[in-house]
Amino acid sequence: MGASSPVRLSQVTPVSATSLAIERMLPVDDTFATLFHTPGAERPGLVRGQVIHCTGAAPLSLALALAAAASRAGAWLAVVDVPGLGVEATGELGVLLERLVRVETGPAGQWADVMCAVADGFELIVTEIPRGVSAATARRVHQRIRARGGVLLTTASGRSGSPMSSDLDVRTVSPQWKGLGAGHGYLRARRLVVEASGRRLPRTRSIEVWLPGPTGRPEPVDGEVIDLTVAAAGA
Amino acid sequence: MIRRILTVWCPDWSVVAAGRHRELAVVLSANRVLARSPSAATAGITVGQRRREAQRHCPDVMLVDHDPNRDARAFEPVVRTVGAFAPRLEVVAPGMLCIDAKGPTRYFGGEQELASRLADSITAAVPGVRIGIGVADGRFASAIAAHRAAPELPVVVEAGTSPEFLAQLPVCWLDVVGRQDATDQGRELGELVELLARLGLSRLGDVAAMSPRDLMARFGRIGVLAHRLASGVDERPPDTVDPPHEWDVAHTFEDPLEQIEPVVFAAKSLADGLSATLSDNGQVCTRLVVVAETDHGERSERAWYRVTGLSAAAMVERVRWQLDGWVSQPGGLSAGIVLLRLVPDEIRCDDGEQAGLWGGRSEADDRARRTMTRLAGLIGDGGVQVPVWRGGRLPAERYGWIPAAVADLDRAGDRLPDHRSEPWPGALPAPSPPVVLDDPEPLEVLDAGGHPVMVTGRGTATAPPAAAAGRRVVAWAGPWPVEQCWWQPDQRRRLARFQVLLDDGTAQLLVVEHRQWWLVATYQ
Repeated sequence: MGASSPVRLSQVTPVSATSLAIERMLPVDDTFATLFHTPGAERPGLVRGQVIHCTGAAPLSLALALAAAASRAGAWLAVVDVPGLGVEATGELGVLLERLVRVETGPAGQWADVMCAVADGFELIVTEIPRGVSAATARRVHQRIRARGGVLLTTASGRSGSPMSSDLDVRTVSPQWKGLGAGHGYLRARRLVVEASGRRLPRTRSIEVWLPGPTGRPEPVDGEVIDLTVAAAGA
Repeated sequence: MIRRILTVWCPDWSVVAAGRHRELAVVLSANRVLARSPSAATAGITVGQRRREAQRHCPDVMLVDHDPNRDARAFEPVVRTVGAFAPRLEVVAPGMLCIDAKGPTRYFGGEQELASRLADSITAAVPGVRIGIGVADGRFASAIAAHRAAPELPVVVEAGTSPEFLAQLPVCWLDVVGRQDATDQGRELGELVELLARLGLSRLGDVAAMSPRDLMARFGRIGVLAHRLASGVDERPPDTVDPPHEWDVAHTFEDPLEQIEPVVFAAKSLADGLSATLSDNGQVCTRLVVVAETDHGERSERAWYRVTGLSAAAMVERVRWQLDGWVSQPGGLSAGIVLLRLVPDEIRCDDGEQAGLWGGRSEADDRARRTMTRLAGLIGDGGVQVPVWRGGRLPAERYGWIPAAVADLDRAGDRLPDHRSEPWPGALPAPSPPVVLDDPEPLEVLDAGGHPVMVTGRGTATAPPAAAAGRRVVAWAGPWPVEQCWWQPDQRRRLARFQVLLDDGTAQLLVVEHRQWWLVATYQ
C-alpha cells in the first residue's frame, strides 16, 4: 500500500453506462402499468431521460405517485421549487421519505442551474417550471436530464403551454371525491381518469384510478384500458 | 515514543455557544438532546434523550436548534487563548482541542501549573464556561482525563501510567471518540461498546488484555482500533506516514475576498482534489492544516484532527469553521483573503468504506449526497432540505424540514422514526393533503344567507357552510376542534378544522381560529 501502489484508481476506466432494456427503465406502480407499457420492454416503467408533464386536477399527486415505485426501489427524489409540499401525503402516495429532498432555488432565478446540478445526482425530479423560463433554457435542462438518465416530472395546474417539450403528457380529469357528505364523513378517496398521450404513443391511453385511495396509496379502479375514441362513440 | 497531550474539553459546549448555559435550556440535534445547561442537567435531562422525554422531565425547558457553525464561531476565543500558550494546537471539534504538552510544560514549570494557568486564562476569556483539562500520554487517555476533570481540578496522568489509568474504566469511554464524529466508524465504535459489555468485557483493561488478532478476526478494523485505544498506546496507527509536500493544495485569489462564501467554495474544489489524490493512493487524512492569509499579511493557521479521517465534506466544514471564527474575532480582518492552503499533515491507509451491496450505502445514495453538497454551495445550506418527523394534529405540524447539511443521511431513522405510522389522537386520517401552505391564506366562509359561519363554544358550526372564498361548497364536514397547550397561556391554541369540497372539484382543509378562517392545505 502507499504512494507507490502499481495501479492508481483514477487510471481504472469506469465501466460505461449499460443500456440493457431493464436499466433504461425506472419501475412504476402497477396501478399505472397500462399507461407506461413500452413496445419491446418486458415490464412497464418510466423511460430514463424522459420529461413527463403532469397536468389537470391533481398534477402533484400524480407526479408523486408516478415517482413512488422507483423511489422505493432505491432512486432519490428531488422536489425542486414546489411550495408547500405535503410530506405526509408524499409518504402515503408511496414515496420513501428517506430518499426525499426538497430544493428551493430562492428568488435569484437560478432554476436552470440548480436543475442541471440536480439532474447529476437524482434519478427522479419533480418540479414546477417557473414563469419566465425561456425555451432555450428549458431545452438545456431537458438535454441534461436526457444525458444523465433521470426522469423529470413537471407539474402545472393550468392548461397554458410549457416552455419545455415533453416525451409524455399525463392529464388527470374528472375528479370525484368520495366520503364527504353534508356535514358528515371525511375525504376518503378520489376517483379520476388519467390520460396519457405523447409523441411515441399512437393514441391516447386512459385509465381510471383511485388517487389517492382510502389509505393514501393510488389504487386501480378496475384496471382495464378505456379507449377514448370508443368511449366517445358510445356516449 | 508517545507524546504527552493536554486536552481542553468544554462540556455541553453547544449550550454555551448558544449563550443559554445560565438558563434552563437544551440544544437539540435530530430531535435528540446534544447538550444541556447545568440547570437542565439537575432537572434530570441527559444527553441523547429524545425531545419529548426531555420535555417530560421539564416542560418549560428552552429548546435550541443545533448549529455547528455557531459552535465553531463561539469556540474561537478559547482557541486563541490556548494558542497563546502553545501555537501548535489541534481542534478536535468545537468544544474540544488538544496541544502537545511537552514544550509549554517545561516553560511553565510543570503540568499542573500549565493546566491551572490555562484554566484561568480560558475562564477569563470566556466567562461562565466550564472546562475540564486532562494531561496524559496520547490523545485518547488525555481526552478521557479531561472528561473526568472537575472545573478547578485538572487530571494529570503520570507519564507511562496511561494503560493503568485506562484499565479500570468501563468500556463505554470508547464511545467518547465515537461521539466526536458522526462518521460510520464513530458510530460503529458506539455499537461495539454495547456488544463488548454484553460479551462480559466491561472494562477497558479487559479489552486491552485480549489479543488484537482475535479482535480483528471478530470485529474487523474497528476491533483493532478499540484495542489500540483501550491499551493506551498511541492511537496514531503504525501505518501513519507524513505525506509528500506535493499533496498540499492552495488557491490564490487574484482579488482579495472579503466574503467567506467564495473562499469556502474554493475550499470545496481544493478539498475534492485533495481527497481524490488521497483516495487514488488508498490514503485518508487524519490531521489537516488549514492556512489562510489576507492581503495585509494576517494569517490563520490551524490543525484539525479526526481519528477516523476527514472526508472532503468534513474538510470544507472545518475551513468554514476556521474562517468564521477568524473573521468574527474582535476587530475583524483589515483586508480581504488572498490565499487558502490545505496541508494534509498526517495520513494513513484508508480502511475503506465499501459501497453496500445489500442495504448500506448504494452508488445512488453517494451520488445524491454529493449533489446535495454541491447544491448547498450553489444556493446555500437552507435551500436543500430533508423531511423530519415532529408529530402533531395539523398537517403543517406533523413534518418539518431541516437543511440536508445538518441531517444524518445514513441514519434516517432518527429523523423519520418508525413509530410515526402509529395513530396520533385527533389527527385527520389518510389521505393527507399533498399541498400544505407555508403561510395559511385568510378567506371568508359564508352560510346560505351570506352570513359568516362560526364555531360555537360547544364545537358546532353556527350554520352549514355554503360558500368558501367565492366558490360554492358542495360537501363539507367538521368542525373537528383542536385544543393545544391549554396549560401554557402564551402557546395555547384553540381551533377547529373543516374539510370542504368546492364546485370546481377541489377539496380543501380549512381552519377557523379566533373567528378567522384560514386555508391551510389543499388536496391537489
